[in-house]
Amino acid sequence: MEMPDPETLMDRFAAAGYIAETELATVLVLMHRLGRPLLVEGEAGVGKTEIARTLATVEDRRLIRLQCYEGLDTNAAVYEWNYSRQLLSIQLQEAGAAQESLDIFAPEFLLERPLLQSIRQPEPPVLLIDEIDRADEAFEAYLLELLSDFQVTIPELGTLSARSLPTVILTSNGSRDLSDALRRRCLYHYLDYPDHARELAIVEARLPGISHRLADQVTRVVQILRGRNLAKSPGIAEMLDWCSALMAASVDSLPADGELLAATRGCVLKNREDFDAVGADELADIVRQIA
Amino acid sequence: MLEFAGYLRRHGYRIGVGELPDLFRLVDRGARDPVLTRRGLRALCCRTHDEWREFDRHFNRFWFPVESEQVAPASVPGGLPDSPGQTLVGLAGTSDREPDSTHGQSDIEGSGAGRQRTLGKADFRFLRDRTAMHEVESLVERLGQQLRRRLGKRREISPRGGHLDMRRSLRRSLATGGLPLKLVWSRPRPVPLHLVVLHDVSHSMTWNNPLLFRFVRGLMQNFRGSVAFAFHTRLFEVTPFFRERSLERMLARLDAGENLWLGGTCIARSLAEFNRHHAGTLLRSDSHVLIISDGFDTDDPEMLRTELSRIRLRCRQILWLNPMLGREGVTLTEASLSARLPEVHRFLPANSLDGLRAAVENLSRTGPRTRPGGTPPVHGQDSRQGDGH
Repeated sequence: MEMPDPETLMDRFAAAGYIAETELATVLVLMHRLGRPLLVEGEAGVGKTEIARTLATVEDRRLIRLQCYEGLDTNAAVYEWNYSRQLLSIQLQEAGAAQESLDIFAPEFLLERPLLQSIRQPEPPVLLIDEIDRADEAFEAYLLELLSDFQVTIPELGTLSARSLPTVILTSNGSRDLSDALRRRCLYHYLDYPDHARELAIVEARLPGISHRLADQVTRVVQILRGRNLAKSPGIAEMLDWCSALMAASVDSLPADGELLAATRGCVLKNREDFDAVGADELADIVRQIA
Repeated sequence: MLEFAGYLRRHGYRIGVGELPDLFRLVDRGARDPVLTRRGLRALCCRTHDEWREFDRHFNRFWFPVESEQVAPASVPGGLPDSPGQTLVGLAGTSDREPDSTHGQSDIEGSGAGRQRTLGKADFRFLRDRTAMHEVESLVERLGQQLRRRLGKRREISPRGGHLDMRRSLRRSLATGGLPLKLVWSRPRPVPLHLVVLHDVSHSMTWNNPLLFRFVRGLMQNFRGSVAFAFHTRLFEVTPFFRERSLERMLARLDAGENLWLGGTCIARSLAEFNRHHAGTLLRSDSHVLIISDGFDTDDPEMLRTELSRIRLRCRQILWLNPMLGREGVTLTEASLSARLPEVHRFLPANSLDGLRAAVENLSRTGPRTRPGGTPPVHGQDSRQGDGH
């Protein structure tokens, strides 16, 4: 599959509702050309996961997602034997229903988990390994092997090689540092919060019915909030939620009175500390500032 | 390109031989598009947010030295703050003294993984930024909890376990035609990690101790059977202080009665006191003894070796966390310290979050139980020479 140039890719992403910066588009093109995985780091809520989703959409490819968590192991990530099916087959064999000799460690008894699925597809999928920093270091080490050789060894079956090479995107929120070995195998991109212009474009792409004034005000307020020392800075998803809430209240611009702001600020402030730090009056002050 | 790769390596970028072919391919393909080449090089050469942020500056300095000199940066990210008069703020007392040197990293920038990495490597002495300090304090205290969680996650097969291990039971039943004749049970692996902390609170440790107190507090709160002692010229038990729920009360109690930060350190005499009055009842064959000290001692080195070897005979391992190790400009190494004090199983740096993480990693690997045969694990520059004392 031929990858377009960065500008065309940006246009396609925009058509799919993702306003990508040129640097990101360039890295995606490069990832395709060099055949390397891409590691995307950034704060929660800046749109890391959406990159993989949008890439799969614009290229009409299957998205396979592996959500990482503490304790994730190969049984949940790579493969598992279908024990109940194996047992049933043994019972059938004993009852004489099955004629042929039975091999219970044959491929039909294998349950493919996301990583194995991703290399066994006839067409190359997009493999999203989400929040890799949540997985244990042991799993990270296993992943290194897969990302190097794109093959999986199953003791009972042998080595399964890739039918097609997936496009791999890993995301990390930085809750722990990743190993150098993993970083070395990947291209790197840091996704920061978008600037005001890009954020405005994102709102207008995602919420076509929103008034320009409201979108402009909300994005400005959110940008100011991100500058504050909040425990949880509002991400893009939170900002879109706030816009949706305000649209539901049928307003075309942010009101300067505190009531509606107080009722909806929970969309962007997700922590009691932040709630106390930015009260409704404070928020109204910010709105007056940007007016 | 090779020179550029070398230039980046000299500035801390980790570009291996494996990256070079891709660099050449990239330059070859993108020769007509310099912007694409620059961005591609950034994606290929950077591993962290800090490297990513600094890349353009390095790129310009190398490829366009004249232009980049003309546009001299007003401030360099990661440099010293404008107002160096800030005091070091820590818990367990706020000191009004400046750190003994202004050399090194002072303020912490960035976010996400880049920030994590920077905080991890930052020397405790140079954490002046109040936000960064508080962040490191809470991270340091959480290390104990992380260690407990890591050890507690492990399960072991046990005939008396209360949790049916379905995978293993099903797997085993295949041998009997699917009849689960032999069930496999598991239980959480016990986490009786027994820690004995001997913490130097003499004057020379002033700068490190606010964070190290939080580290010890995290350990004490997560491993209930453990005990902590502090020492300068004498030894005193501080376990009850660390068990205080309120951090403020803990700090007040530490500050109030025990004269922290006294000048002069008598490590050997303090250890002798520990051996005389406490070791017999407190130390077990599975105890991990953590000595937290910079090693400045007014006592006889031979006496220190003797006391350490007595402790070693009774415990599983001795870890010495030294804030001087890993410090910039200090030539001490683990090997040199181990040569002087072979009774200590490992010397680990305690000057940064990463150093403390290494200590926790060591405890996690060693685990709570003595291996069959009772041989203590041997790490690094370990020897049993001291056992003869």
